[in-house]
Formats: sequence, structure tokens, C-alpha cells
Amino acid sequence: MEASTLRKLIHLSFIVALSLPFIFPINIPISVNKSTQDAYNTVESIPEGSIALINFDFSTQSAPEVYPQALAFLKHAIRRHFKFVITTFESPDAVLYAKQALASVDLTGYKYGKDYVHLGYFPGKETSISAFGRDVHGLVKTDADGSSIVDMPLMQQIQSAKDISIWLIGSYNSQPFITQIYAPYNAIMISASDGSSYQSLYTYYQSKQLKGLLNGARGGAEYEGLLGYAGQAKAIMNVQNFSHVFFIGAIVIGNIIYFRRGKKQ
Amino acid sequence: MNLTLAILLEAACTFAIWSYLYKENPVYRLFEYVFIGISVGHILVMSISSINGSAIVPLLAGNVLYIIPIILGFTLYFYFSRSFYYLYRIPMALLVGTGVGLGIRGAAHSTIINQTIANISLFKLGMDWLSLLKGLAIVVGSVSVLYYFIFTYYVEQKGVIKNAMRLPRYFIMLTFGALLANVVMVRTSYLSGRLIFLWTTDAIYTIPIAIAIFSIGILYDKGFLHIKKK
Repeated sequence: MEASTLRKLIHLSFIVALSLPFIFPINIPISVNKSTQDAYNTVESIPEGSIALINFDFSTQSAPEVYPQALAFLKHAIRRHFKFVITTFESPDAVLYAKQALASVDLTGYKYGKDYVHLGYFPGKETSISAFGRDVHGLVKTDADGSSIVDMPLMQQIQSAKDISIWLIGSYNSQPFITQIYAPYNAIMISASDGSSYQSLYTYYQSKQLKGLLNGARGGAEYEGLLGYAGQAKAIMNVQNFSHVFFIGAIVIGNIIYFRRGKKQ
Repeated sequence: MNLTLAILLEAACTFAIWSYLYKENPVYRLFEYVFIGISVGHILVMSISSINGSAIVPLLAGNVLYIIPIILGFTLYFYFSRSFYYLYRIPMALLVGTGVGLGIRGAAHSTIINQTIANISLFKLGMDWLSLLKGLAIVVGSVSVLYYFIFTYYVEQKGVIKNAMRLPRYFIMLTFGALLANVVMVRTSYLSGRLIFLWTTDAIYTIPIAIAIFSIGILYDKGFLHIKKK
């Protein structure tokens, strides 16, 4: 068989293999990692009614992994009756996801401007994060819909990073928050991640600069489990389990073919 | 069935991009350009909206100082002018200077000082064997990999040094292996997101249509549907 045909067959069989859990649903239980448990416990330790910042920062591409984690943070904040602001500093796409998340959760008892505000997107990445931490009103003039934030009761309570009790970073890379917010203000911070940034962020968790850290879709599924619901992250993990089996099988078959060819040559 | 236009479009985009797995084709290219166009358009609108909120509105409200960042922002476009290129350097110098300053401040504290403290404080009296082994692995790994990347003076690699250089290489290989495995799983998550959309929404009705279109396309590409000229 030609190499290009084999490659196409592998692609096709991979998509078919990952579709199997939808035809034959399985529900494999997921154990909770310490870093996820720490994230959950940190949120639980913050008094009810405190002010939280939930950062939505991911592109459309990374949304399947990071959005469920950010949504879980939002649901947990609402469960703890936190007042919260939602921000985006890196990926403008995430503003739409934040709106989608706000539309999907139960905000009974919450009043816009008094209990929560969606501030939208600020360009500048690390520079903006630093400016936000130093003087919120110096950077932010309007919310995501262009309304002035001056008269909003919640925004009158937030002048700088010191007024925010907990930072819930729903981003694939929370390093700028650690360097610009944790370091100068000693802020309490937990973070989401995608699988590829987990290793680099784990060093900050290990040094206790992050109080908790979620490991990609798996971390999201664990957090959903702790909150008592099965969301998109759990669905992704069901598919992931099939992909693990597929990859192991492909590696084994590939090696057998390789060594058999080697012997013949 | 609630097969809305949005779901149809989303499913069409997914299948069109997947068609690249067979080979590059005009449908894939069209949707690729549409994706890039929409992304650029969205970022542009969001950026204009942000500048409007954070600079134009305060300027119109009487804060005249906001004219300075607006002018500096415009001078960035002198990048395209040979005569006024020097003006482009002013905002660029500010951007680089601020970025480096903020970066060093943050990195010095959180990446160098705090990480070093964390590594030192791994060892405590009365710690269990597993924690001790973990701590030793972290310290030996950190020090040996740092040693591996010292380029400031030449060390001839022979004897003990040559053998010692193998250890950091194993640490680096282990790290890269773990990183690669995670990157593969991330990509699988992205694919899973698409599959969840296709299988759990009304987009499921588009799957047989897509399979039919794919099959016709492949047959056409292989020459089975070509009309032979007499």
C-alpha cells in the first residue's frame, strides 16, 4: 500500500474511532488530581459575596479545551455568590464565548452592574494586565457593550488588583497574570490551561504562586465532577479515552511493521 | 429537527476543512480564506471598539492628554513610509521599553526568585522517601539542565564531563516527550470538540450528506466520473 493512501486511511480510521463513543456511550469515572482539588478548595475558602475576576482568554481553536474550564469557574463563582467581573486580554474571540457563557448560566439574584460586569477585551496583553492591576479605571472606561462603567456600583468597589479577592484565569496561558498580578499584589489565583501549557504552568503551581491548576480537558472534567455536573469537558474525556486506545494500537502496529521490514531488509 | 442556518454553516465549515485530509482542494481553500477573513475582521472591530472606549471617549469628554497615545498609535503606520520611517521608531521604542521593563520585573520575581525558593524549600526534616526522591529529581534536573546550557566558556567534553552531559540530555528528552504527548492530546481535544458538535446537535443530519459529497469528490478525483471524449 502507498504511504499516502495509508496516511489517509489512518486519518479516516482515527475519526471513525473517535466517533465510537457517540454510538456506544461509555462513562469512565475520572479521579481528581491534587492540582484540581486545590483549585476547587481555594474557591471554596473565599468568603461568599467576595469579588472575583474571571478571565476568558482563548481562541476559537483552543475553545474546546479551555471554554469548559472557564465555564466551570463561572458556575463555581455564582454558586459561591461572588460578585464578578469578566475580562479578556489576549484573544478577542473569547468575548463572544464569555457572552455565550453568561447566557448559559442561571443568574437569578444577580443584577448587571451591581453584582457582575462584563468588561470585554483590552488589547496589549501583558501591558494591559499590568495597567488593569495598577488602576482599573485608568484602563477601563466602558463595558463590553460600550456602556460607561463609572456609575456601576460593582466597578466603584474595584479600583485596583487589591480589591479583587480571587482571580480565576480561564486562559490557555496564565503566565502574564502570574508575573504582573501575583508578583506585585500577592493575589490569590487559580488557572485553567490547555494540555500543552500545563507543564510550564505546573512550576508556578508547585511554587504555590498558583493556588490551583486545571490540566486541559481532563482538569475541566475533574472540576465539573467536583461541581456535580457533566459538561463538555467530560464529553471530551469520553472521546479522549478512545483516542488513547487508538494511539496505543497505532504505535504497536507501526512498530511491528517497522521491525518486520527491518528483518526483511 | 432544528437544522438552522448557523448549524448548517458550522457543519459545512468543519467538513470543508477536514477535506484537506484527503488533499488540498478549492473548497478547503475557500473556507480557509473565509476563516482568516472573519478572524481578521473580528479582531479589527474589537480593537477599534477598544480604542474607542479607552481613548476616543475620554478624549471627547475633555481629557486632552489622551491625544498623545492616539498620535503615537498613528505614527506606527509610518513603517510603510521611507521618508518618515524614523517617526515609527518612537512608539516602537516605547512599546519595546515598556514590554521589557514589565517582563523583567515580573520574571525576576515570579520566575527566578520564587522558583528558586520553591526548589530550596522542597527539602524538609522528616519528609517521606517519595517527596525526597521527587525533590532530588527536581533539583538534579534543574541544575544539570542549566549546566548543559552554559555557553559562556568552553569546556572540553571528555571523561567524567562527557558522561555527566548525558544526564541533562535525558531530562530534556523526558520533558519534550511529555510535552509532545500533551500537544497530541490537545489536538485530539480540538477534534473531539468538532465531533461532539457533529454528533450531539442537529448537525448529525449533515453527516450522510457530507459522506456522499466526499465520495463523489474522491471518485471524481480518481477519474471514475470523467466523461471520455470520443
